[in-house]
Amino acid sequence: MFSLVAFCALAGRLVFLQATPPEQYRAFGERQLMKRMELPAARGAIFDRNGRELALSVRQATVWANPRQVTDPVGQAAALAPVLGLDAALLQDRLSRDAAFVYLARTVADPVADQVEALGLAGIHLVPEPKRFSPAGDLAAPVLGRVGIDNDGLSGLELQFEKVLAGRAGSQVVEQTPAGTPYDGVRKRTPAVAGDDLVLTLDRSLQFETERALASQIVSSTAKGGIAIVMESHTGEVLALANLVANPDPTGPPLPAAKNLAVTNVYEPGSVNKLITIAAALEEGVVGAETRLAVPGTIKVADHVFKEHDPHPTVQWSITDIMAESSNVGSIMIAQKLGKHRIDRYLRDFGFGERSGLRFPGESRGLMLDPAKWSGTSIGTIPIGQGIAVTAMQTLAAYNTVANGGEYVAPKLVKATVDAHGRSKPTPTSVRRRVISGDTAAQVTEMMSEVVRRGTGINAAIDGYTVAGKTGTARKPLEGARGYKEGAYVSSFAGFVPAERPALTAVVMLDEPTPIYGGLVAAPVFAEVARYGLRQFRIPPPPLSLVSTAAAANLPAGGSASAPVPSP
Amino acid sequence: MTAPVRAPRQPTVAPGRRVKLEVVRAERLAEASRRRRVRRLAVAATVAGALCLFGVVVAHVVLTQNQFRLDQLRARSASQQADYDRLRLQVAELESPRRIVADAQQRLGMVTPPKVVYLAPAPEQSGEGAVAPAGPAATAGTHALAPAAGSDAAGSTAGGWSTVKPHLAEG
Repeated sequence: MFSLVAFCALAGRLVFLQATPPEQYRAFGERQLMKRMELPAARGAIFDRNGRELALSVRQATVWANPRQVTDPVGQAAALAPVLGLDAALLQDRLSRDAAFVYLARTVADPVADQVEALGLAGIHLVPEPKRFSPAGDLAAPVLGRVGIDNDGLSGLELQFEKVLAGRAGSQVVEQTPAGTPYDGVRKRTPAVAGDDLVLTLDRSLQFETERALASQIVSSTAKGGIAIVMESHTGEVLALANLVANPDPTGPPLPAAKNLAVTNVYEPGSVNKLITIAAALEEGVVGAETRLAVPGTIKVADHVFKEHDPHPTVQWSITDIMAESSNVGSIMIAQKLGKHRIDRYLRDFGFGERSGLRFPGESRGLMLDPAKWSGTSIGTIPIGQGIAVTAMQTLAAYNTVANGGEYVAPKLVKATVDAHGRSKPTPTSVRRRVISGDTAAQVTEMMSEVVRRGTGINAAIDGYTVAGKTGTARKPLEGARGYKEGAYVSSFAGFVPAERPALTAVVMLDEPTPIYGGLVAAPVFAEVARYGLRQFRIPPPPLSLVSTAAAANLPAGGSASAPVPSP
Repeated sequence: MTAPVRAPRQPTVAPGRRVKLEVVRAERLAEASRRRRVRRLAVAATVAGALCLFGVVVAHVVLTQNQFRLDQLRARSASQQADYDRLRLQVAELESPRRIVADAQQRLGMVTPPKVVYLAPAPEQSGEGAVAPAGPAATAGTHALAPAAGSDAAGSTAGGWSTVKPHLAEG
């Protein structure tokens, strides 16, 4: 009887198993038998404009363990610890866990992986994983950004272009033993799709030289840090973008900033803002290039008295003189003729108060005050670059507007993407808009050339070329309080070269240097970097017919134009 | 080789008994023939089935072997790709400006020139391709761009080349 009951029960169970839908049991069996392994996608590389690698991924071995296969956790931990450079107790803890997978060390160097393999320990395995490398060291590091241990972008362009660079992970299904050891042979495979490469507008050599020159000046001027950007004038392509901070160790070289300060941090532009004030006044016909103003040594605006940096009696200055001497009082007089609404409009037209279009993570739009909220002294402060805040990139784009004959060209940092099949997809060309007329731009250019020829920017001069630019020395506002920090200045120089046919536009900014003047600390860096750029891109001096008489008179003895000689 | 002659089948009849003969009907003959065909078909089907099963086994073995080969090729391809990536990284590191500058300064003892010399054509010669030295540094033996052939400055500049790069001034 019992046998009959048992038989019936077994038969009933068999019918139940056979008759019910099999998916549940199939899935159960596959979970036991099959193992799904992810195939990481190769992250796209980042190149400079000439195809030189700035960041690329290379597969490195990751050491992992299956603790269920580990026979001697203590002995194996002791053997692995010196090879992996890890604490033996930590390894022993990991090897003793009740799990089928634990990481021991990720993306180790090839010799380490070879040593681990040579140990031949049970349950210890190697699996390849991509690791990000920067073959040029920390060159342009704040721009490129960082990736995490799982190869995902954390900052900079690595974060901004995460979807482009990351690709799509694949997978493969293999059979495994009950202990979790995979058999050879793949049951199902979905290949990974490699990420696209990114081609930047940066030039690796110019980037290196820019960082070198900036670092040298940070050290010699004991500045807290600095920014330098070089741009191709016509296209708005950024050729070099250096962000450095002083080393906490006074004997050490400057270090890359933690982030791309050129677009994320704002500062009061100071005198470099006078360019916009004067350009706006010329464009609006409020003054002409040869208009002469009686400029006193001080001017009272509302309840505040504004002074020149170098005291002087009342003098008759042309607009060019006001620019060349970087006159605060003269600029304020021009601004008063222009009015706050027009000043505000031109500042915004030159790109202040809006993001540059780079869409860089954390990019700031700057700080602009609504004209309705201007105080009585704002008509005195804003035209000379105080009371507003801009990024270094915005300053550069504003100066590049003049270099482009009055047309604003949005900065550009990425030239193209290249897919796994080598197909290049150029990024859209930069947005352009007219801000001032070509005639006004030419007049402002001539004034800026005078700044370098005989004014505050004389240290930016480059033999054989006409440089147009403007110095800036702005006080640093207190953090979290009103007023300015005593003795703290941001010194800058922005300009372009050759003035007759602008090819390179650049801005250099130093944070709290000594001496404080932009003409003394930032202008020489501009000259050094621009000189290198002119050679690097083989930009000849302009034809003599384009060189103005004044410029020619300022050239070295014996000639009216000159040619650069490559360094030996 | 000849086949052995089979003796004609004789009806087994007990001795002393008369064989009872009867006319075989056509239906019985047809039935016997049909059974023989069925047997032959069954044998043939069995053989064909066995062959098919064997074929399936062979195909499966070949498939598995090819799968292993494919896996091995994939592994080799991945290994080669990894080697290529490592070499690519190595080349990029060797080409990095930082390494080149460090090598130039520390290993080769090169130094940055204290001053870059620029030459400007004299106003009266400008546009004629002539090159004249400019500034005091130019007269101190530093070199310049190659001048236009036949110009007055050519000889003096060539002299400069012979000092700086003798092999360029030969002939």
